[in-house]
Amino acid sequence: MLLPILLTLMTGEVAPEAAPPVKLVISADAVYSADGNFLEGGTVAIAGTKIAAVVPGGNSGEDGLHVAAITPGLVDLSPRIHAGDLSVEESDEVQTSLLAADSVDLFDKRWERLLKSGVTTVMVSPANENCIGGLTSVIKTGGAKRLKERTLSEGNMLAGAFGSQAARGNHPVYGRPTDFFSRRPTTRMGTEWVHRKAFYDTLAAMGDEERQFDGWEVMARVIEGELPYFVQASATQDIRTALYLKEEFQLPSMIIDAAAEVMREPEILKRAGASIVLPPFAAQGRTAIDNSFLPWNTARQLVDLEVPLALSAHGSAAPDNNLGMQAGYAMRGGLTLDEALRAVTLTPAELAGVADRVGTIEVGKDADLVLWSGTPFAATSRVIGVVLNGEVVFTKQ
Amino acid sequence: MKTMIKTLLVTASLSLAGLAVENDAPAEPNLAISASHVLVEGGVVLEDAMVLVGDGHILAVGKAADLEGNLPAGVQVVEHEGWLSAGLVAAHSTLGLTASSDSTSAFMPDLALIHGFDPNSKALTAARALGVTTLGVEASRANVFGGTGAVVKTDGSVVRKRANLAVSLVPPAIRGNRFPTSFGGGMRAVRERFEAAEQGALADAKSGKLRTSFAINGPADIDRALTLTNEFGLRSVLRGGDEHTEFAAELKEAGIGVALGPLSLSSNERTYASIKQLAKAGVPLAFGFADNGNVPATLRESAALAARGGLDRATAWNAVTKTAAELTGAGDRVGRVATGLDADLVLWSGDPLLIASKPVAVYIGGAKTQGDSH
Repeated sequence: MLLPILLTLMTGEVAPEAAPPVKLVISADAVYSADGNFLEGGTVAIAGTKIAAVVPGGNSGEDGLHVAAITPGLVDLSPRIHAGDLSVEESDEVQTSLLAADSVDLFDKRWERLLKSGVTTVMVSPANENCIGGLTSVIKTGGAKRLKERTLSEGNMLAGAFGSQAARGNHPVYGRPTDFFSRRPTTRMGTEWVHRKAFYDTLAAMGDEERQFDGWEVMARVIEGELPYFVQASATQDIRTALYLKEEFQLPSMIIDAAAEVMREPEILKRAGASIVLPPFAAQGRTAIDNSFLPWNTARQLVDLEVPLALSAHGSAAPDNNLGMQAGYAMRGGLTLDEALRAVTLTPAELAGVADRVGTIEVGKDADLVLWSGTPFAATSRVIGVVLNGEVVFTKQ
Repeated sequence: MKTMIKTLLVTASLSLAGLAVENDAPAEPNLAISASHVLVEGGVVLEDAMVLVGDGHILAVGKAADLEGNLPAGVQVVEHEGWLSAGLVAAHSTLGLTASSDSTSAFMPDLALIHGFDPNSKALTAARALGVTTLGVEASRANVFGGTGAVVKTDGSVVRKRANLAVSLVPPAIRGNRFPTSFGGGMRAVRERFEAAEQGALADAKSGKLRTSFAINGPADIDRALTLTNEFGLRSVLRGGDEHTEFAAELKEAGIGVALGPLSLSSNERTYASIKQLAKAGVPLAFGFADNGNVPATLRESAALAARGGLDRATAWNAVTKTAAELTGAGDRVGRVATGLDADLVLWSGDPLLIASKPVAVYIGGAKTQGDSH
């Protein structure tokens, strides 16, 4: 059954309006589509940059490429692949129109590391050293060398931060300011105050032309829910702060990044409603941000609450801490493979607004695939190949 | 070499013909210099040739045998056993500037660097003693819009008062103790200002009247420069960097030249690969020293090292003369030994692309400069 379908595809007979011919066919013992479909023994055909067919069955490896498992390319919403301090505009704590992608260096060695770990799509945001840091973009981890050509979505969210990091480096003004960093906020409360003021000022600007300020339209889009608010909050108190703010201004769409301690107070999360990105799991439980504690079963609990959940490696370079391993750790904490897969593919793609292009193995979507040596995310499996935009960009064979 | 000389004979006679047509009343020569080799421009060497100079300009270039018979009385004749070439041109320099940026603001597109240029600076004397006669003056990288630069000579004279606009989206311009501190903030600010500009240096950069010089470190800076160049239709030059390989084709297509920093004996293979790739793609290539301590001696060294590193001799020599002049916007005045151009000439003890050769005498505008050459 398979062969005729593929042959037809290859000769282009069914192809509507001159679709490109199939150029790559990969079969696997298991194809995990991340949209609930699973094929035990399946084949993925690629034409041009897109997936042309996903069919059951497939060759056993005598000819063509055959691997143990195929998943969609992984998606990381918080890879922290920015230019560090040079991604942060310190002239104001509220940067509504700064474009984080302007600070991205595509020639950074970290891109290759991400790609080899199976991550094919990421969202870039500035370092979390401002209260409101700027606009994020979604870009592929490989392919074209010009940023514009790699971008799936520009300015898809507004990024901000609570917690201690946003006030880092600032110092209070006693008498005369000594330098650029003699300024507010210097504390968590100050950080929250700056956020709240920005939203109040925006509400005022929305009702009164005379109170409009530079960048108020971007904030207004957050209040109206057109632009999700992607905000870092890791410790219990900071997650509270974020959710209180969401409630106070009735922000329709908030995604809390690095929300390690979110399940300490599930009732606030349930009441306020927000999507969650978990930071990388830590052996001793303590994560890098504000020393907050991430229990292993957090992912399980969030899925039980039906909270949209994405995992992130936060740019960790260590092979035992990459995004695929995070999915494995989440499974150790109770997620099923399907749920873990979703948390590193479809859910982050949906949150980022690019699920029409990436996140699942479906006909018509970008041919971004991870090829595995065994069951995905298992400690004994590794990424043996990555396909990006229909090209094999990395292979261990 | 023999073939080369044949081509050159044609060039030479064309130069003489051009002289008669271009000037109704051609200036009388007051100086005739003969040399065993005249390096007309990269790849073009005339043996036993002569250069006639009058009114500060080159009046003729040709075989000594053809020219020396018709010299009017009173012409000073210099016979040089060695090489003669055009004076060296630095694509970017801050020599002679009392300051190369002003800290009033990070955005000073209309700051005119010519007003900070000291024509009596001792640094100029030192530069011309090394055979460097023309400098593309550009603002340092300290401000996002550093100001408009000029083209000057090392005798203190001015070729172009306003020749370029310096743009820096790299540190320290974007990591000072003020706005902007980020690439994103810098890009936004540059965009907003270009969009709003109706007059002044920014408007002149948009119309192509002023060349825009972008400070470059890595390939991401090239990506940003290309983006802005395309968005605003700029006429751009990239200043510095050593990783252009990936973008050679894009730079060629966008008509962007590259004004590199100086090479040294410790320059790595990547740098040479980048240079050769640019040359292969046909990207105009020049050297300058503004960002590297303003050491004029590095200019000729860079050409010699580039040739040593595998760049063809012609491109290497042009990178410190003809192409450098063109990238600064003074290609019609300096950079070659050709009829009608300024008589900025250097007499060398031998082939100037050999580091063992040294300058023996330096002429700017036909006048021999004072001071020991070395």
